Amino acid sequence: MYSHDLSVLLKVAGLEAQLEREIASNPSFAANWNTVKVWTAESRYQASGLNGKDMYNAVTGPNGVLPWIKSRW
Amino acid sequence: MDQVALVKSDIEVEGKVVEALSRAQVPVTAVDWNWVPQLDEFQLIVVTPWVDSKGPRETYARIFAALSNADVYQSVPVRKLLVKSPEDPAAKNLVEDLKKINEGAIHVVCNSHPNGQARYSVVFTPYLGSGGAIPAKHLLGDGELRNFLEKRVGVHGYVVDRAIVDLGQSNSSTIFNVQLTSRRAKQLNLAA
Repeated sequence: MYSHDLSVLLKVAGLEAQLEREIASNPSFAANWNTVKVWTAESRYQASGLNGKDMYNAVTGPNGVLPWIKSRW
Repeated sequence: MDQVALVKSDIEVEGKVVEALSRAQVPVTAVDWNWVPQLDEFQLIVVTPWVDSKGPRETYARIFAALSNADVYQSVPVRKLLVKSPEDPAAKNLVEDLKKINEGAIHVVCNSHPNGQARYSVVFTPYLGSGGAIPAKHLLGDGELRNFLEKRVGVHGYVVDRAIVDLGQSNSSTIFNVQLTSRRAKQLNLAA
């Protein structure tokens, strides 16, 4: 069974405790995580306007979610 | 899983968030806990027009800055905090629900005294209701009862004092004219 739910995937990857610590110590990362975590396979089509820009920045920008995950690969 | 009741710490967290947002002058339409069965947890929903005007990321950043400035960031489970636009259908439902205020009476009955401590059953009966089962909240001892009525339901301390005196004399007491939103009554397990 496949899942796109980021919270579920983080749990499966064993990164939940690290995520909690990062959120507790880094409000900028927390803002990015909370923006990204509501992403769903359906919402990927809402790529225009403020939401699309926010999602992009929250994933790739400073304190973004992707660099944080990549550093744990 | 069935919805569990909000606990005192959840209500306190909501109060801290509301106070911090008020201090930072964040425009807020509503703040309330919402049960999410898929996640098996409550989420603290903050409905604010900033989601539309500034975007969700900037809104989170400013809200978390407000929590940090109020020195409560560490004590708020920010992972469970979710911002929503007032135009979001779920936010609209939440705001409508918060407007539905039920007035009724709280009946407290002292059932038994296991280990010398009073066991209380608390029920809320709205004056106008659609009928149906009324759940009872069970509490052990005067401390739990006082805490529940004062801190979570919002009954004045002197009214609780009088109720506890009544219970000592006749094993039952009624507190009239209590106002609760439908949402809060459900969160406190005082409504089905």
